[in-house]
Amino acid sequence: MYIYTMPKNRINEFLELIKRDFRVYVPENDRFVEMEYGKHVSFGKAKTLHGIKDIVFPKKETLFGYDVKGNIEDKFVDERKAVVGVRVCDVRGLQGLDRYFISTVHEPFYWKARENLFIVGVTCEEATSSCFCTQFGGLDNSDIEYDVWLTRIEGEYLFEARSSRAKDIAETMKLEKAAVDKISLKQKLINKVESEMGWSKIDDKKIFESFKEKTSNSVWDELSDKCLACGKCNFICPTCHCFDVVEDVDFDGNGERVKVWDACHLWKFALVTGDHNFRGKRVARVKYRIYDKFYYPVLTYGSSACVGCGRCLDVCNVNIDLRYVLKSIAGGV
Amino acid sequence: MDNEYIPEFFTIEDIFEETEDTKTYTLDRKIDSSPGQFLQVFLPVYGEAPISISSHRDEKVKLTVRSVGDVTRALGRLKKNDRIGIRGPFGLGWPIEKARGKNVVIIAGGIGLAPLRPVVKEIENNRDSYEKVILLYGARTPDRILYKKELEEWTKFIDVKITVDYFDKVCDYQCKAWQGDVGVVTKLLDKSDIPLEDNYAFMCGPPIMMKYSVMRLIEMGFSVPRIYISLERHMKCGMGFCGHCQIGGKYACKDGPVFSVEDALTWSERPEELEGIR
Repeated sequence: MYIYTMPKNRINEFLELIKRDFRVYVPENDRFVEMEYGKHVSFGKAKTLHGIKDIVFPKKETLFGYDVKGNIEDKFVDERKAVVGVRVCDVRGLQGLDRYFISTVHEPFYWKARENLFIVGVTCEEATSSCFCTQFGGLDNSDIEYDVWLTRIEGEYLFEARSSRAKDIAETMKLEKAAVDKISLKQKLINKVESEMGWSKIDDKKIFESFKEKTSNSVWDELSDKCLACGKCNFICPTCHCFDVVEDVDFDGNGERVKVWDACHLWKFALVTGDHNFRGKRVARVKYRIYDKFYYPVLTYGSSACVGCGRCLDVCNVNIDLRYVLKSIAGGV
Repeated sequence: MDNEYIPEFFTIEDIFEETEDTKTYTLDRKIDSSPGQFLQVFLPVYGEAPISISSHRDEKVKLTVRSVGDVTRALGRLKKNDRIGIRGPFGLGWPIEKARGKNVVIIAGGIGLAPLRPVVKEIENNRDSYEKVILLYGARTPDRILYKKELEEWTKFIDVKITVDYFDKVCDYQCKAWQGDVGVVTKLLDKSDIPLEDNYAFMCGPPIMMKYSVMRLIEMGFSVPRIYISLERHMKCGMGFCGHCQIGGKYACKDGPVFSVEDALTWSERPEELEGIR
């Protein structure tokens, strides 16, 4: 790891350097969009409402095309993308997706997108009202994988270069090595933002044990009375990875097989032929989603699949707060 | 890039009408599979459906398919020499190797016999490696019995018992001639001399049939860790990514579809096939 400082006004130069090799995505309002030439880039003080999931795992993606005669056409496009301005929760989300998609068998599309991804993170300067990443490691970026990490300190950026490519960029830009006091200011900023969150961490083991015991608890009935099972939290969640595979066919019979995001909250999710639905009751679906965040991943991968970004609360129509759900299951409320 | 979503095309060499709505398709090639695994069958425009492999690896691929959904109905309209796309095989099958030297109880309901046919074929090929083998098979009506001819041949090397739920007075002559058992599969369990030591049970069928059969086996004193069931879900990708076949955090497509009942009973989401047990 090499730590430099970069004057604020050199950010565009930095972005242009990345743009030589990558399609660059930057935050604009509530989401990440492809950077437009000459447009001012602003990172904001906290996470965007929409994360970066759809950059590596698009809402809709063509698996292959076919024609009437049954000829198959592989439509895979190799693209190199860079995401600039992501938060620690976004990267933890990617690492959550990696566990599902890159294992003994690799999900070919995700794997390629992920391999090609260049990550530039930014340290949060504020916590939003839904943030609770302190439950899952907080704003410390030492345990996550990225290329460059920027922290705005006194009109400059602290520039942490983790990958060799990032180091090359820093060398090309002839950035100065950061002084020790700058680095300590970053920790001060992190402490400030983390204290703003006001979330007192519940012991992970306690959460796991509580989920193990409370499979038939009234909490689930109460929650499913309130929840609309609309699937918004599935779609916004950085680690929700389910998809459907469907046909997209034109009138001539030529078509494509596409994968599209799906959500375990939706009634149709566990429906099988013969109109049999393995999770026809809403309570089964609501409970399933929460177990698939806090219980099953612990069994399979050793840690939960939540990153504490709070986006599920941001989009929820009925204000279901996972923090409250956690407390009511693991104690504290 | 290896795009695992692209199917390989096989030609249908033969179609045998098992029942009114079920056909067995024999394809033009063999495939290296183990009993209990499944394939993703693709028909352009209609999509993909997970289908159990009914053939042993020594035979050309056989798929016994009931026409009930979009893809399977389209499959039902295909003719000899038509092509179908295949991905797979996927999943973990029956613990047929572990069952060597043991007594084997095979319990099937309806189309659930399809993934168990390769088990019977494996036993046929290595009959001396297995002790007592019983096949209990329940069909809704006599004319819905699959593999009728083969079932007769199988009686030469294993015990085969068949029951039907009911039979109509006004149906084909075969119905009227039905002299066998009437009732659910658990009735056959009560009637048979089930070996309770050194045994394995392999089961596939509708959820309700599996639930009561597992219950009955446990009541009879069958050891729970040696009961295996095949949990059928609508696998969309077959590789453990899409999430549709998840049950209690397990993926039916890669961790199953065959699971031991002992394992499945520990999941915090109880599969419908085992609801109400213990």
